[in-house]
Amino acid sequence: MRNENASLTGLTPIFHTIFFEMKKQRKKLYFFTMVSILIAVLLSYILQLFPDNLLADTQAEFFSSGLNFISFITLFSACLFFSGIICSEFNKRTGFIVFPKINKYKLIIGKYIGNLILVVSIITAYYFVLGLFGFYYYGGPINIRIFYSYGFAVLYVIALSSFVTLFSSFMKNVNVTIIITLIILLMGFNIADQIVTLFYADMFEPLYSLAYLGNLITSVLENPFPDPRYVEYSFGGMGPGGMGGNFSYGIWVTPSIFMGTTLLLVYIIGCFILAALLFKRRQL
Amino acid sequence: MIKRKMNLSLLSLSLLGIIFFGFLSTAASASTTYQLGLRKSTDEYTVIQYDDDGWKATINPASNPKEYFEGDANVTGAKSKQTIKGWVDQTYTTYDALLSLYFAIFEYITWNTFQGNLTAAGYNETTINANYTNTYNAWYGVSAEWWFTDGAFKENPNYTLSPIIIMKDPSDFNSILDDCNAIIENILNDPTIDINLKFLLSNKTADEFLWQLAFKGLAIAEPHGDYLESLVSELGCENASVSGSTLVFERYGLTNYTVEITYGDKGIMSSFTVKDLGDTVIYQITSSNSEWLFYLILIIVSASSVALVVYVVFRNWKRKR
Repeated sequence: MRNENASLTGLTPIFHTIFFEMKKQRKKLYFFTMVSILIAVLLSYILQLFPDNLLADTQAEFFSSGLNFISFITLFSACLFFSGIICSEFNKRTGFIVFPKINKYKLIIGKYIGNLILVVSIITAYYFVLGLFGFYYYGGPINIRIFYSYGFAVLYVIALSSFVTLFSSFMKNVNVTIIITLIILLMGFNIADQIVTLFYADMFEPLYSLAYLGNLITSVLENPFPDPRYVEYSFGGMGPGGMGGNFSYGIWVTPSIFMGTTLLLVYIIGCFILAALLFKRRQL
Repeated sequence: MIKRKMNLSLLSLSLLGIIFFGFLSTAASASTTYQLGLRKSTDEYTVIQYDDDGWKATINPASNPKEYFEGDANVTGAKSKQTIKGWVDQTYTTYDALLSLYFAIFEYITWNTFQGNLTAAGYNETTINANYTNTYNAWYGVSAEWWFTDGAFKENPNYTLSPIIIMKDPSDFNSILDDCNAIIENILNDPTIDINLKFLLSNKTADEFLWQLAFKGLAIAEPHGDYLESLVSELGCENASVSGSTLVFERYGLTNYTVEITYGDKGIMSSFTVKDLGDTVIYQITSSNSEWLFYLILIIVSASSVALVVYVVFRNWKRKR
């Protein structure tokens, strides 16, 4: 009983930090929630007001087309919410407080969980709006694969947040962290994927890339799951649309579900361990 | 200052007046033409009654509802669904109307099979459209269809481009029928046409044409009653009548029977009923959708959001005081 009370008392500062962080970031939450709801309404309702813009054949295809922007929303929100988790403490020199009320690890854990709750709420709002319009256009029941997609979106957000947290652990400035992580996640991985595919084609799957792993969010909605996962197009020939020539380009569509899940988990664990080690070495 | 305020109120009044006049003029112009009621949505159809013995004793011992609808349409409780995906304005030439509205599927196949003979005799798209210059404006919709099944629906539809045809002017159907009957008459009297083709083509009566259209994606515009009345009277149907939004066909199998097709608010079929001589229902399909549940969820979510915002604002206001 006493141990239980002690552990609860130990957790209390984390809870306080979570609530404090959530309150502190509420303006970002409102902004991102509004933006994600607006995008969801635009894609799933406003576009459908145009009669010549054909509705997708199935609910899953409707969700898939509505989720085109989810990677941007998750990416920007992860960068903006998590970039300041560790480096802002260094920046504001909170380590110099003489009588700190909270252990530094508990502070970071609380901040991380608080921000994660907010980002997951934003994604939930997006999926909710999409699900609602999916129900409006196609009736019930809601396709089960939207929940798988949601699961992957949450896993992807955790992986992104761990990646940004890792950068936050050794960068000095919040803004620089945001810019660098955005450049890497938006452009770096995509450019690297294209170079790798250009050189190795189907010999090497870009499983290192968070952008590529994020494709699971939409590809899990497809029935059947994409197979083959590497597709090559040829052009410059005499076939329909110039196909069948000697020029070709290939694209990796999606990782397999097992490999994608495993690697997202590896990213999460790896980035957190590295971030913790760097944080430990660096004095507040 | 007062002058500025007056100018402002005059400007507001003028703007309001323009908007109001716009509304009025829209309503006035709308009342002279038919309005499209289609909406992108999904309707589920259920076979709520099927009396196999009654069907066989009334219509034909060798037939069942599968003649009208695809899938397990002869099983009580079987369900099908239709998702309206979109629509465009389309202009039909006489040739288009002949192939897609007038011909039954076997006639269409026959026409394509004898294409060479018909072209040589001058019955190709160019000559037909040159001789019959009418064009017909329609709303052409496409829908995804899941055929009747007594189990769960497959994820992908059985047919992804099922047509929905709504003529903007229902009297156009009469012109189409007249022109197409004239073309068929010419073909039947033409000595250069293959006798096998002549054997497979024939003129259609207004009742036959309307009955065929009912299963070829015919939908109607608003006001539904007026549209149906105009359609039936312009065609000059003898065995079809209208009751509200319901099209009633008097048919003859082993005995007389009636088929009632009701059109819902979107203008597509909402129920299909076959009744025998004694007005007993032999077969019935009705439609339903989940739109009400969507609006209920939307109202609950909106009300909760408003309540939350009011609570937060009130709490903050109270704290500041």
